Amino acid sequence: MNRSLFKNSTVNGISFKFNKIIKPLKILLTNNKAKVGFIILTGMMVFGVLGQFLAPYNPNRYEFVRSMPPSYSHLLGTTVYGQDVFSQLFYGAAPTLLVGFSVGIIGTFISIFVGISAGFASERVNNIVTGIINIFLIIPGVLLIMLFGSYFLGIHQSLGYLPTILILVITGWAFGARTFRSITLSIAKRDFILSSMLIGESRLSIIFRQIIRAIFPVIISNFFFTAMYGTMGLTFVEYLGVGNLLQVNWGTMLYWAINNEAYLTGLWWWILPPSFMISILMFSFILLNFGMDEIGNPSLRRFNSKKNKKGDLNEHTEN
Amino acid sequence: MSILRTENLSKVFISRKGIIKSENVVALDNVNIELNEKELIGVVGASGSGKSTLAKTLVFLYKPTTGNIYFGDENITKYKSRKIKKYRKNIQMVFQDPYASLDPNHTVEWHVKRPLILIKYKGDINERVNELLDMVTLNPPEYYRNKFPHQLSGGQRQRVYLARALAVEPSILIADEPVSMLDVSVRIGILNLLKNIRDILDLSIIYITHDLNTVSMITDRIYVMHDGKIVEEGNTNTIIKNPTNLYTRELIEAAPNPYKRI
Repeated sequence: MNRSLFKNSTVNGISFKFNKIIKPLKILLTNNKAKVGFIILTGMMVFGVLGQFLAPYNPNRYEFVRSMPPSYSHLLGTTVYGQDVFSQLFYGAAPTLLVGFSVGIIGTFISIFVGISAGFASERVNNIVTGIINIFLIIPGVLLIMLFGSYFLGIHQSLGYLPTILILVITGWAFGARTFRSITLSIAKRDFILSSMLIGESRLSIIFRQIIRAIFPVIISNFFFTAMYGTMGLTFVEYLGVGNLLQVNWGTMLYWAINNEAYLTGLWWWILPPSFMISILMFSFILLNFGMDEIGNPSLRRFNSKKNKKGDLNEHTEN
Repeated sequence: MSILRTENLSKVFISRKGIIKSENVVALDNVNIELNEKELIGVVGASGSGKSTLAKTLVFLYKPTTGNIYFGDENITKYKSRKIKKYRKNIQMVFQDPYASLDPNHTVEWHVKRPLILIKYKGDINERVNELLDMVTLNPPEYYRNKFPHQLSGGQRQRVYLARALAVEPSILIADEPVSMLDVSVRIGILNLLKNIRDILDLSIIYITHDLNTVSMITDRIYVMHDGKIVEEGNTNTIIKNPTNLYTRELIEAAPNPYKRI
C-alpha cells in the first residue's frame, strides 16, 4: 500500500517537471516565427550531432582531387587542398554550435548574477558593481582575443576552444548584466515586490520566485544574443587566424576559403556553405527571440488560437 | 488603549538638483496620530498631502527622518531588519493600485499561499486558502484559485490582495486608497468588506483616502492632512458636519454631490 503511494507520487513529480518544460515550449510554438526558428535550431543541433558520426569522409584528410565542383560522391565539392567540403561542414557544425551555446549559457549566468545583485542590493553595492560592469563593457572583445591569440602563437601553442570560450565570456557578459541591472532596478520598486517584502519574503526568495520570472523573456533573449556573440566571436577568431587552424569548424572553413581566394577562383561551393549556415543559425536565434515575450508575460498569450481558425477571437487573450 | 501611535513623525525627502544644490521636500511634518484597538480611522487629504508617505513610513518602507513610532508600548523607530520583519507580521498594507500589487506571473493561489507558508501556518494550507478567499467573498474559491491577475477585474484583484494581507494574520491593516482605482459600484463592496473584516477579526484599520464620501461611511475618527501636517482630527460625524479648519471646509465643498451643479 505504502509502496504504491510512493510510486504514484514520484511519477507525479516527474510528469510535473516534464510539464514545466513542455508547457512553455507549447506556448513558444504558437508563434509562427518562433516555430520556424525552433525548427531551424533543432535541425542545426541534429545536424551537428549527426556530423560527429556520419561525416562521409575524414574532414582533415587531403586525399581527393583538388577544387572539384559538387558531384554525387562529393556533395559540396572539394577544396584547393583536396578536402571534402561537405564532411567539413557536417563535422564542423558541432564545435561551432557548442562554443556559441556555452558562451551563451555561461555569459548569461554571470550577467544574471551580477545584474540582479546590483539591481536589488543597496545603493553603494549597486554603484560599485555598475562601475565594474562599465569597465568590462569597454574592453574590446576582438582585440583581447587577438592579443591572447598572438600570445599563444608566440609560445607555439594554439588557442583551443576552451580559452576561446573563456575570453568570449569575459568580454561578452557585461552588456547583459547592464540590461538586467536596469530592469531589476525598475521592477524592485513595483508594488508587487514591495508587497512581498511586507509579507516577509526573503530577498533570495523574491529574486528567484518573482524577479527572475518577471525578466525571463529578457534572460532568454540575452541568452540568444550572447550565443550569437559567441558564434560570431568564434568565427571571427578563426577567420582572423589567431585560433587553432587545424580545428574544423565553420570559422576555420571561412579562413581557409578566404585565404585561398575561393571567391575569385570561382570555388563558390567552398565559401558559400559555411557563410550560409552561420547566417541561418543567427537567423534562427533572432526568430526564437520573438516568441519569448509570450512565455514571460501571460497576458500576451493567445488562448485556443488553433480551435477557432475562422474567428476574429484569435486576436484576443482569454480575458 | 492605543495599538499604534506616532509622535512628531517627520519625513523629509532630499531631491538633488545638480552636484551641490539640493532641495528638501517635507512630506510629513510632525504628524501625531493614534490608532486604538479595533478602531477604523480615516486619513483624508488631497494628492501630495503626505498620506501615502505616512502609510509607507508606518510599515517601514520609508525610514522616518525624525520622530517616533510606538507599537503598543514599544518604541519601534530604531528597529533593524530582523525586528522589522517580525513587526511586519502585525501590520499589513493594501496598495492603491490593484493592477500593480499582484505579480502578473503568479496565480491567485500562490499569492495567498506564500504568506501562509512564511508564517508557518499549522493547519491545512489548502483549506485556509479557500477560507480566506471565501472571507473576501470570492466565491467559489476553486474557481478563482488558478486564475492569473490579468484574468480578474479590479475589484476582484483588490479582494485577492486583501486575502493575501489577511493571511499574515495582522492586527493592523493600512488601506492606502484601496478603492480609488475602482469602479464606483464596486467600492461599496470593498468598503463593506473592510468593515466586516474589522468586526470579525478584531482588526484595527487605517483607511487612507482623498474621498470624503467613503470616509464618512465607515470610519469612526478621521484625521485631515494638508501639506504633510494634520490640520484637523476628531469624530467623523462632527468634522463632516462642523469643520473648523478652512482646508477641511474646502475639501468638503469639493466632494462630489449628485445634486449639486457648478
